[in-house]
Amino acid sequence: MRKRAPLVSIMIPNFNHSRYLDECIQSVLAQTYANKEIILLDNQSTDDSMNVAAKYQKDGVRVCCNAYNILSRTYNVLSESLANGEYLLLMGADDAILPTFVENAVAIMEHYPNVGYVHGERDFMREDGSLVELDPFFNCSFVAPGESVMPIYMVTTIAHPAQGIFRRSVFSRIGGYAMEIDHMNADKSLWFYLSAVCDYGYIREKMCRIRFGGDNQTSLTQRNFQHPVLCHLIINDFVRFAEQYGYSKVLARKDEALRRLAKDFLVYAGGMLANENYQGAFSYLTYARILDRGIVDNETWRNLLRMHDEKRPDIAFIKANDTMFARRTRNFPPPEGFEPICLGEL
Amino acid sequence: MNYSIVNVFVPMYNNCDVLDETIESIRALDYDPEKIFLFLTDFGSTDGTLEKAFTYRGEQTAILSLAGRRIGRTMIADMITATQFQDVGGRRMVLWPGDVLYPHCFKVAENYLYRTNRAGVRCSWLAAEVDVRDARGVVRRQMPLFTKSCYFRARSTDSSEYVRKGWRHAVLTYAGTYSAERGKISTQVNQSYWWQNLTYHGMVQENLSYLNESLGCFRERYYGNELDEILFRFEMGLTIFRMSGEVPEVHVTDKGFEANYRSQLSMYAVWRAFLLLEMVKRKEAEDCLLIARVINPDIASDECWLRMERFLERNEASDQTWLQEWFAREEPSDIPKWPIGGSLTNAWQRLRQRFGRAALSKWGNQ
Repeated sequence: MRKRAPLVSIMIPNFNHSRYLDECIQSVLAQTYANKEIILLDNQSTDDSMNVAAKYQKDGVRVCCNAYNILSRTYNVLSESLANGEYLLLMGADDAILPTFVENAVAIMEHYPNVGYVHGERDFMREDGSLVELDPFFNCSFVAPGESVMPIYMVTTIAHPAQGIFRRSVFSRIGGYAMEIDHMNADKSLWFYLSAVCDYGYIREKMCRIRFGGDNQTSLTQRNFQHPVLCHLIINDFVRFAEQYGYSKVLARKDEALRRLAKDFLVYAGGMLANENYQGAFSYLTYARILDRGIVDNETWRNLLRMHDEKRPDIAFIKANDTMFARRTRNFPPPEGFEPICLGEL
Repeated sequence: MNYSIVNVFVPMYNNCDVLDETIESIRALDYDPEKIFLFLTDFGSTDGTLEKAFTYRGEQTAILSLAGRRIGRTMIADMITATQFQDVGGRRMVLWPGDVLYPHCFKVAENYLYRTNRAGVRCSWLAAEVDVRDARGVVRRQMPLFTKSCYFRARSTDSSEYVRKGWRHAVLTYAGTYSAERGKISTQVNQSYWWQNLTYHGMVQENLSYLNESLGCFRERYYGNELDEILFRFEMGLTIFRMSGEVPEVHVTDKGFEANYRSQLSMYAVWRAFLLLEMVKRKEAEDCLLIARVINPDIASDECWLRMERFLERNEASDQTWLQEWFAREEPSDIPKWPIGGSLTNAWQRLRQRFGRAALSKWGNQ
C-alpha cells in the first residue's frame, strides 16, 4: 500500500519584495517533500518582483498577479481560488524555510489525524541575511489538544505565518482567513480559531527563517498606528469568542494580555521617540493607559513621557528597553495534555 | 413603476424581547408581500430568539440557525453566504432586531432610486435618514445631514462628505451590494448604521444616494464594548488613509479627509465617554476619553474634551450641564454638492454620458 503524500500548496503573496524572492522561492523549491504546488501572487509590485519570480516558472512555480493591490485579501485569493492542496502554507515573500519543514509537518498530521496545524520553530533573519538565533518557544516537540493552546494566543503569537502548515479541512471549517481583522489573520487569529476545532503540533527544530526589520508590514503598521489598534481588537475578539463558547482559561488571561500589550506599546513609543516622532510616541503612551491603568507607575513609562515632554530621547535607554529579543523567556513547557513526539519516528 | 424585490436580512443573537417589533414592521410594510423575502438568521441564541422566529415562519421567510458561528463582525457575511442559494436577486438590506421600518419605507426608497436613475445617476446604495429611539423609548428626529436629497460620486473626493460631519448620525442603508466577503466593508456597515462608514462604500462602489426623509426608527446603539467599536472605526480610517496613499486610482480623498475623519471620530469617542459616565461606567468612560486623544491629539485643546476630563475628575454639575447642552446641539443641515433633481445635475450627467468619464474627470473631481 502506497504511503499517502497529499498535495501541499505553498502560497507566496508578494508586494515589492524582489530582493528577497530568490531566497524565498529557492527555499520552497528545495523542500524534500515532492507533492507540492507553489503559487506566487503579486500585488502590482513596482520593483522587478515579477521578473524575479518569472525565472522560476520553468520550475513549476505559478506566478500570478492581481489587477491592483488588494492587500491582505491576497491571502483569500491564494487559499480559496488558487491553491488546490490538502495542506496549506502561507509564506512571507521575505522569509525562507528549511528543506525538511513540509515533510516533517505533513508526517505529523498524517500520523495524528486530529492535529490540524503544525508550527516549526524559527530564527530571525536580518536584512543582510545574517541570523538572530533564538531559543525555541517550547522545550520539546509535541502534539497537544487545541483547547490547551488557545490561552497562549492571548499573550503571544508563537509563530509567524510562514511557520505554520495547516489542513485545508479545518481552515475551511473556521471560515478561512478572517477579514474583519486582517492584520494577524494569517497568524495569531488563525492559530487561535484553528485551535478551537483541532489539535496542535509543534516542531522544536528550526524550520524557518523569518525576516525582520526594514519596511515590512509590521513596521509600517506600527508607524501608522494600525498595529496597536488591531492587537487590541484581536484580544477583544478572542474574549468575545471565549465568552460565547465558554473557554474559561482564555478569559482568565485577559488582564494579563492587556498588560503585556501595554508593555509592548512602551517599546513602540520608544521607537517613535528615537525617530523624533513625538506625537506618535505620546499616542502610544496614552493608549498604554487604556490597557493598563497601572502603567503610569511604571518607571519606563514615566521616563518615556519625560523624554516626550522634554523632546529629548535617551537612545541608550530606549534600546535597553527594547525587549524584542533579549529578555523574552522561551523554552516553555508544552501545554496541558501534550504528547511528546520524535520526528524521526513518525 | 415596477418595484423591485427586496431581501431583508435580520441577524439574531439573543434578541427575543425586541424581535417582534422588527418583524411586525416588515409585515406592515406598504409593499407587495410577494416582493419581500425575509431571512432570519440566528447565531446560537439561548434566550428563545430562534423559537420566537419560528412563530413567523411562512412563505418567503427563511429561518436559518448558524449556531457555532462567531458573533461579531462576520455575522453579515456569514448570513449572505448561508443564503446565497436562495438569492432571487433584487435589493438587499440588513435590519437589526429592535429596529423598525416605517410602512412607506420601501415604496419611498424605490421611488427615489427610480428618480435618481431617471436623473442619470446610477446609485448602488441608498442612505436614508432614520429616527432614533433611546432606552426610555423616546423617539428623536435627527436633523437631516443635508437640506435636500442628493448623491455622492464614487471614487471621487465626494468621499470627504462622509467625514465632514455626522459623527453620531444613524442612517438606514438600502439596496447595497452586500457580499460574502468577510471584510471591513461588508461587516461593519450594518452593525453601526453609521454615516461615516459609508466612506468605504462611496470610495470603491458605485455612486451613493442620500434621502433626507426618515424611513424607519432605530434604537440608539450600545455595542456592549464602546471602546471596541471606536477602535474598529479608527482602524478602518487608518486603512483608508493608507489605501488612499497606496492605491490612489481606486481610493480618492481630498486633503482634509484624514483630519476630518480623526476629528469626527474623536468627537464620537468623547460623546461615548459622556454617555458611559452617565451610566456610571467610569472606567469605560475614561477609556473612550483617552482614545479620543489618541485618534486626534488636537482634541485635548477642545472645550468639550477639557470639560469631559474635568467632569471625570471632579464630577461637578456645571460641567455635566455644559456637556449635556453641548451634545444636545444639532448641526444644521448642509446644502449638498450634488442635489438630486436639479437641472444642473441632469445637465452634468448628460454631459458625462455623452463625453465619457475620463474626459470630464479632471474637471469634475476637485
